[in-house]
Amino acid sequence: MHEFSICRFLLDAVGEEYDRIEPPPRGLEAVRVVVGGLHQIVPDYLEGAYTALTKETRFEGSHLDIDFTPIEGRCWACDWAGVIEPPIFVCPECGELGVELQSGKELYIETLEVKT
Amino acid sequence: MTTTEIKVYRDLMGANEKWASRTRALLMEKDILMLNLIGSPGSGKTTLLEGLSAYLGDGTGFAVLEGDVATTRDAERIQELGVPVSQLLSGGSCHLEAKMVFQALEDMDLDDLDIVFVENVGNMVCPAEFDIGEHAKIAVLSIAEGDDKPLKYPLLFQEAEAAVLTKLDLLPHVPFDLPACRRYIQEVHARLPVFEVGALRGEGLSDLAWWIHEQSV
Repeated sequence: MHEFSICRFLLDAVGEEYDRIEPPPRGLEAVRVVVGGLHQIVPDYLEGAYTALTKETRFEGSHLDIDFTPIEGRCWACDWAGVIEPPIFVCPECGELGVELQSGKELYIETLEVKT
Repeated sequence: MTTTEIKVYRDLMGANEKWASRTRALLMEKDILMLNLIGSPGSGKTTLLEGLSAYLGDGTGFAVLEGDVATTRDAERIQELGVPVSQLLSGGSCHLEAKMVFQALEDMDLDDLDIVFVENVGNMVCPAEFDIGEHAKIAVLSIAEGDDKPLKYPLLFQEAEAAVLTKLDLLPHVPFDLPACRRYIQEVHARLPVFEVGALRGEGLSDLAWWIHEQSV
């Protein structure tokens, strides 16, 4: 249930970014976050945490959109590049170990949708 | 009223990262190595630390931050060795966060320390997600847990700078395929150093202590 902790950090950052918007918006509609596939984050839990933690706050009623990005890698030996699923870093082309991670560790807030 | 989309592109964990950075600055100022031990409940993290204490050398000052959901049992075990220890009770949380660790370090006398071990809350999933300002995460997996765990919990082994296979003395008694486990670890993190340890008998601890000293340099 680390999603609750992650959501607290998320809302700290959302609050700071929201307060920076000029002119001040009339409300928050949605937050879009990008989560790399390597993170062990359960979307339902994160959304549930968002609903619970925004209750009776100025962000109540806004919603969280989660974009998952796939785990992608590139083989240092044969230059194969593609999606790695499940997260086993063995090249499907040449069998070499140590496929380098290209994406999958992202964890950031992409956009805020606000009422203006 | 219209809806406007504002581009943010901001680290979601920034609030945690701020504390982790403060910890890193403090550790750098005091010239201390901090290692974050992560593994299941019962994987042998406390026993590993008890065993390691005899192998780190007399001149090495080290302390332990013990993360647990409840009780001070682990901290008491470490204290019996004469090692400074601070108990962090997560109060039900499945992991330690950077702020808790920073505050514990601030309350500790750091002047004579070379290494701080953080024994994270027993869990292979959640602690792997959190930067607590450590120099390295160490994945701890016991022989009793099964050889396929690196594939089932890949983020921990991806994030770790070393893996320690504990309870090696159980190997004759449980169906654990050691070469397969090493292969699984490599499939997740190809160049991860792996140490095989039987902490109760001191097996493999000198190699691990040597690796730890190399990280301090």
